Amino acid sequence: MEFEPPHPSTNPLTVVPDYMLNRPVTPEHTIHDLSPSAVARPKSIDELSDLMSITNDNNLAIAPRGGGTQISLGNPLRAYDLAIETTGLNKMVSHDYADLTATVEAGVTVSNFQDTLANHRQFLAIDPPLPNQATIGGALAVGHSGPMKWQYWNPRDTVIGMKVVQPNGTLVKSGGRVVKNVSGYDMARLHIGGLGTLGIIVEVSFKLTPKPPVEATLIGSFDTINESLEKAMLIYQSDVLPLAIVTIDNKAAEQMRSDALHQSRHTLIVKLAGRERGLARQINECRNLFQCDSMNEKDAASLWGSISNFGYDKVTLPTLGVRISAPPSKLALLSKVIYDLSTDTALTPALVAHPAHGTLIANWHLDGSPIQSSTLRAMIGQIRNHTRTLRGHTFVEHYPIPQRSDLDVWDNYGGSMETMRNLKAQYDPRGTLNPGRFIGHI
Amino acid sequence: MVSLGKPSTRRLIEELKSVVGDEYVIHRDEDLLVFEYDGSVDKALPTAVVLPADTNEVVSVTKLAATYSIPITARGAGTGLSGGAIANHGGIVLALTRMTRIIQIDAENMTAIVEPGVVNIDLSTATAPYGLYYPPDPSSQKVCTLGGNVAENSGGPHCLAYGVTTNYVLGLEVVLANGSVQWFGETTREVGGYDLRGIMVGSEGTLGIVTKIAVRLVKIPEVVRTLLAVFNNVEDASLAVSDIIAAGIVPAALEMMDKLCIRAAEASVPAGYPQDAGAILLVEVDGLSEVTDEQVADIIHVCNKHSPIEIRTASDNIEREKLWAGRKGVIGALGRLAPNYYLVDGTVPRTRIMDTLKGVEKISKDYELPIGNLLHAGDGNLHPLILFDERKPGDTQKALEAGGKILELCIQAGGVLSGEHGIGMEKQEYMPLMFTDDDMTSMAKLKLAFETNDILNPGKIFPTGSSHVAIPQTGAISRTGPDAFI
Amino acid sequence: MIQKSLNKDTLSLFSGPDAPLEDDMYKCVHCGFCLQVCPTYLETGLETESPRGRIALMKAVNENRITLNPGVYRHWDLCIQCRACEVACPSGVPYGNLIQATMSQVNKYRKPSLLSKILAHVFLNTILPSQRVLSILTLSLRMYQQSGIQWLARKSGLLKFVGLADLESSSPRVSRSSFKTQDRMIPAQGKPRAKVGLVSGCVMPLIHAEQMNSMVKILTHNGCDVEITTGQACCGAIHSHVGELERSRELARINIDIFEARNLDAVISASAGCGTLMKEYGHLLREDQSYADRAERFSQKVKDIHEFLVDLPFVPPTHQVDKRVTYQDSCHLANSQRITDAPRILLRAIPGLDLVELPSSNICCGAGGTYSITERDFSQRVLDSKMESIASTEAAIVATANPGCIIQLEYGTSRTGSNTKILYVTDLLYMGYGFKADM
Repeated sequence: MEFEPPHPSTNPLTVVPDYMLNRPVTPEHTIHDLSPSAVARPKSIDELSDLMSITNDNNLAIAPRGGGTQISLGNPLRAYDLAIETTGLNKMVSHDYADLTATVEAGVTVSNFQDTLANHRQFLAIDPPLPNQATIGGALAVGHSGPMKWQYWNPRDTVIGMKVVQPNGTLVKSGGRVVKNVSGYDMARLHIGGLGTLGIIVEVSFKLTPKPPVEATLIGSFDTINESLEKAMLIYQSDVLPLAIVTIDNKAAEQMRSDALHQSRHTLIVKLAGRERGLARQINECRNLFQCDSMNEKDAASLWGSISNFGYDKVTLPTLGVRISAPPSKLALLSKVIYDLSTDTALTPALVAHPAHGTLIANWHLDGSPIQSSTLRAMIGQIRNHTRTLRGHTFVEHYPIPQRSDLDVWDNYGGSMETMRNLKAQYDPRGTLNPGRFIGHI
Repeated sequence: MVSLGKPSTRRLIEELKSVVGDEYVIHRDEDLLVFEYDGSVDKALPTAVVLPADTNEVVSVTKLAATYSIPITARGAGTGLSGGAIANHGGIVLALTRMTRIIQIDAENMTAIVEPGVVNIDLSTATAPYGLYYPPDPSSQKVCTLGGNVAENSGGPHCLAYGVTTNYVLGLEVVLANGSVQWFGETTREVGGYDLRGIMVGSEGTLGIVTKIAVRLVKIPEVVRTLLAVFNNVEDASLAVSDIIAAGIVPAALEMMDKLCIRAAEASVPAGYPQDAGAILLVEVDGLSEVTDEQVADIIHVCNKHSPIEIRTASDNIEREKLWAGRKGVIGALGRLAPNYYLVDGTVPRTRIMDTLKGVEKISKDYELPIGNLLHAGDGNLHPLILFDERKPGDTQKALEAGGKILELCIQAGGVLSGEHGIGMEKQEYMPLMFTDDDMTSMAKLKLAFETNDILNPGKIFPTGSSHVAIPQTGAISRTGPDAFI
Repeated sequence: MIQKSLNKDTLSLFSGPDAPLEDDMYKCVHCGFCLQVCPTYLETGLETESPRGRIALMKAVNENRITLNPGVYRHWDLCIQCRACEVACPSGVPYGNLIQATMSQVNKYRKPSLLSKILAHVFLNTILPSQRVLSILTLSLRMYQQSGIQWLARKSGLLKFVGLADLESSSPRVSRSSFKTQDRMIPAQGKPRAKVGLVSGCVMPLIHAEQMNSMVKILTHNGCDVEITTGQACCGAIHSHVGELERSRELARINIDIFEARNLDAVISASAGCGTLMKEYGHLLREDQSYADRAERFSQKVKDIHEFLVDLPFVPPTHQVDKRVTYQDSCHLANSQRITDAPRILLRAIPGLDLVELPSSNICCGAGGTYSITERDFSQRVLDSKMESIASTEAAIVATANPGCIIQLEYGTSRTGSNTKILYVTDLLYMGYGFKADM
């Protein structure tokens, strides 16, 4: 099914009650050069419901917004009448620490949520970029996570229940507040990674993880990225169970400007946690596998922050960036592909890999260099071809705004595009939510 | 119930035979009888049973079903407990038990690709030489198929620390109702677009037929330590459960049995449980030896606060098997106490276990039916077993009503209708206890996004009868079309 | 999940004292736990060829939903009766009793071909019960195998022509030596620890006479006075298997009379199949007022030879047997008598012997009494799977505990051209005691 742009845009100011349009339009609401006519920040789920029933009735194109940390993701919007900020939904609903679960409204920032949980030595096992700004709802709508995903898997695996306001304004829930549940379809899956295209996440219940008693971060550096990836695979396949394994190439180290990183070498960083005796043994086993130093707690925390934020904070925000998901053993080969292609185009990539998770992030700063859009497109195409033959796929996280309409930033649908279109048609038949922005420009 | 008429049925059977071969189409009355049941209460006769050899044959059968407008119900080993594999609207039962190939084990990247008929335990057996295994372990794991596990999002005693099926599925090859073949996800950890693989898991065969499954595997833990703690009553045992979790320990498994179950288990598989025991906890931790030693010590410390009668530990496999023997045999053993039992499946927040069990006890008194309690306590997943004798007039109805009351109790405690058995035919009428009309309409839209003719496992999950919710029921969608829901 | 049965409105097609018991049937809650241990289900993947399916058909007949037609009892016929499902069943369904009772009902309705009827009659009523007739038959078989006629017959294609080639190749090799079955007592070596009777059975003394002699020697070596009694009848297992329960009972009474008179500590069976039925004489004769109690007492005394030796406990073997050996559980031993450890304990006690576990050793080899004759094709499918898993162990020897299994597995080696030897566990113990260097 092809989506027509919504009907000639109505000015939201004429149909939405004034009290709802309670925020000024600012430059930060701009998405890919498009600015909304108005901004709403509902103060409650009911208010959001009411608002969306109005926007739906009037075919207004809306883009939900959490902390705005990953607002540049996706394909170009086809239309953009109204920005809806979720940060007004900021209640910590409950922390049932004895149950190891918590329920929170979607507009709460990840840091605030983690701080509350820390009172009972628990945490939510997701670590998205810029957690001080990023909201729970936004982090889930994007669906990616940071370095900790190796041990704790994807954000979707922490969600046990969800409330969503659908495009027509109805509030629906799925799941519950229990950790084991097969009652009806697992509807939350539609919205995690769905970039707010089928509904707006308003409340989420999570299963939590107890904070490990002690943590350690080991760091070592190598002459080549291959060496660091090889060592990472050895750790991945050993008895050691790290929380995170990350390799950072010299260029990315340079961009991160962290004192802990050797800027001309390729770094391997391993985060371990647990009880003391177990941790001591894991540290020993790691030391047998690669030459490394232990970092102190403060430096380590700062470094892990830089790693999570890579590509999203001001200093590392690139012009062009891809996020590759592939079998872990193929990351070395893919790194080489990216270096070679970059040499051909006289560009320098910065690489961060989460080898155990099979994620490779490559970012380029074009800094005004006169690159043709056809060159970029060709390079992305080549990276995609390579990853596809290795049974992986390439998501374009960052792309120069003028060339956005050149390509679909999502890749490799396994023939499932038809089903995705059907989903969009069922849940957002008028195409009011983030029109054109998601996979296949739906 | 779909009725084709004799000539069409005969033609259909011939066409099915031309797809999969004569031997693999079952259509004689007495042979169909053995496909009318699964592990649950319900029964319904299919029109034919087809056993395809591969994805192409599944596609052909699906297209035939579309042509004849008759339902397809996929079936694995038929061990499900909510009627998911029963063709309650007739039509074709698609038994996937011939598709048993393990297509790939990628030890380096810790993934495997299998066909849906592979038996759960067979995958772990095949990957053991690489030091890897597949953690979800439903109690039927020696028999049940991975395809069935995907359909029901199966759990098991060890899902407390390790998670359920959906946490392990990376990708699925799916045949949709229109016969198209799509991959949802693959072997990579992240997927682009909507999480279709996540949506498929637990959809009870209503959205598509899974023909290949890519899963991730995990390293076999270095050591496994098992601990059995005997308490005077379920209150003490429940408090110990909460305290273990609150102490920041997430054991691999945390199981509970009450007095009735202990007595039954002891009569059948003597494991040496004290006869005056009011409740037993079975706790398992695994991982590095240094860590598990400390965890066992901590768990003993916590249990000791709740006046245990006895605590035993096992560190080798034989002792471990002994501790587990009573737990694993208890359902069959309860079958010896009464001619019939109704196994209920509900989940409550872990902290509400004690209240809920008290409520169950009251229901047992009110209905004058003995109820044994078996719990995946760490998950808050209750399995009350209501004992009855169907030969006594009215007993069956009483048991069913008592089951309904228990589910209401779970919902009131902030819990859910099913922890691991699924909704299927068994609990579809209870869905309104948990979900609003809007919630269910939203689920119905999901079904409609996958198919509009209601061919795949119709009459499951959604409540039947007089509900005013616009939800898929046989024929309803084809009559009204998808627009009815917009 | 509810376990459920229907009330019968009309009289069931199952009738008489040997009808399968309704209480047993409805113990099955169709959980399906039996599927993956059932050899016929594993071969076909078909619910119709599974224990759960077979019980469902029994229920359906019981409830008058279907008639007892060949399409129905075909599925029961295909059951090897290995009873592995009983071990897997969490609800304690006595499947063995159910299928035997069901087969006895089928026999009332079955219209067998004249030829098979005659063959069955001759085999079950004349040959097996009489050691004399069996001896003659065996002697002929021995002459046939040793005289060169066998070679000639194979070579000439004569057998193929008459369609007997397959049957011929699966017939057991007959012992060159013999086992004397007349009354005698072989005294214990050293101080007697027990007085035991040995079930000489019908087939074993003829086809496995050497092995029988070895077993006697093992028992005496372990301090047993061994009584051999003449006039023993066939145990009746094969008759029970095909539902000829009355004939089984007649034979049981004969055996009880014979052994009772000897005042033994134990009655030792070296054949798992015989041991199983003899342990069930109490159940078989439960309705027979003059025999019920005696049968029960007799059954208590019956011991499998491996079970007996381990309980004794046995004298440790001291001679090296440097062989890679795997053990195939005999269904009657593992599933019916639930004895799986004893044979392995004996094997592990032999110095130098490397015991490797056989994958799926709990799955039947397809012998199943007369099954290998009556359901030839299926028996071979099951056997072929078994031979594959045997090959995977790279063992030089497969040890097992029942003559039927030995014959079937030997046939398997001849079909696949394998060099693997098939031996009784006791053969290896015999070597471990240094009575013989090799087999």
